[in-house]
Amino acid sequence: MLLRNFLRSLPSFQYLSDSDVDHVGAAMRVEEYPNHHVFIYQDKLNKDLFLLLDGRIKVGHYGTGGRYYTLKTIEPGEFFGIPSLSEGKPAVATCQADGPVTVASMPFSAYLLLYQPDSDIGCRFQFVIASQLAKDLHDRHDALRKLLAQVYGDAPKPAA
Amino acid sequence: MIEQALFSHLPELTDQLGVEHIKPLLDRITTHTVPQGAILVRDQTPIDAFHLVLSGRLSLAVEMGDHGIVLGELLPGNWCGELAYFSGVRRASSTVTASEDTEVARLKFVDFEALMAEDSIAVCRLTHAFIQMMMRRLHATANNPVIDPHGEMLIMGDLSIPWSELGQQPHGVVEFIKKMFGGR
Repeated sequence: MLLRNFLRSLPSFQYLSDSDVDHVGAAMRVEEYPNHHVFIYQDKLNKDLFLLLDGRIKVGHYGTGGRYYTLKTIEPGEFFGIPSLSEGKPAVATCQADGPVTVASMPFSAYLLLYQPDSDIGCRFQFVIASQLAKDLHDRHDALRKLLAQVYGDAPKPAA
Repeated sequence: MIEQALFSHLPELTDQLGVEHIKPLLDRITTHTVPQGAILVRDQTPIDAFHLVLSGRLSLAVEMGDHGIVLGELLPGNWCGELAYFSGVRRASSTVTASEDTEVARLKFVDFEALMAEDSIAVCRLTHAFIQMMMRRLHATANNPVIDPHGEMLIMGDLSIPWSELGQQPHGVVEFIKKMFGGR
């Protein structure tokens, strides 16, 4: 499938024009990666925006005490690497291929123009970024609810 | 009183959106008081609006049955409701409770979309602020919760961004590159 068609199929691209999609697609490079390839390392600066086209990627975090746990699994159509790239801060999670994957990547220099809301295309791309971050947070909240279920099961809260 | 809270924060809102973009937003928001202890929205229930904290504090918690994990507090200048809107789920992602008497501005999703048609720059800048807030919240919630001395589960992190930071005009390319490489 052409990258342009893939991008056009994403719900978060609804406000981008055909020309916008062409520009975004032209700034991305598609490559295949083997199982276990690490795209982003926790505590290191990320310098690319990634879009998973095929396969699965695990997002993990080394918490306090060095304990590792999975934050979420990225599915095709999801962007990753946004917070570290946008804030210029080390990543809070590691993103690693879970099996062979196909990923499109955009260099920092191109992302810079899309993250800033000053241009027309940047303005429209804000919705893409916001949609992905909302999904990431939504998934994180779901994971926290699952944790609650594991800890407490269906037990009612004891009376204070 | 609530209008006074809104008025007192007009400079920050104006800095954030630009002076020519503030009126279309003000035309569409309504102000409300949430008494201490009152629940503004309940986790997983349908919602149809964003809420901006004008004064006071809102506490956020994800819930499952009778149990919850406290995520932290939202201070003035911070919004809630953006996860429901931008994820397309249209359901609250946490229970939002007033930690004290809290004044909020309410912007319905349908009015946000109407604003998009009337003043796309205002929506664009507001969305950029939502992005900053969501990145902060992702960072804050990456760690698993701890159990406090009262047996409650909570996340040790800071959910809020000071309004003074949100109020800054979108930074230019040079400032962005300097920030990226740790410059001042």
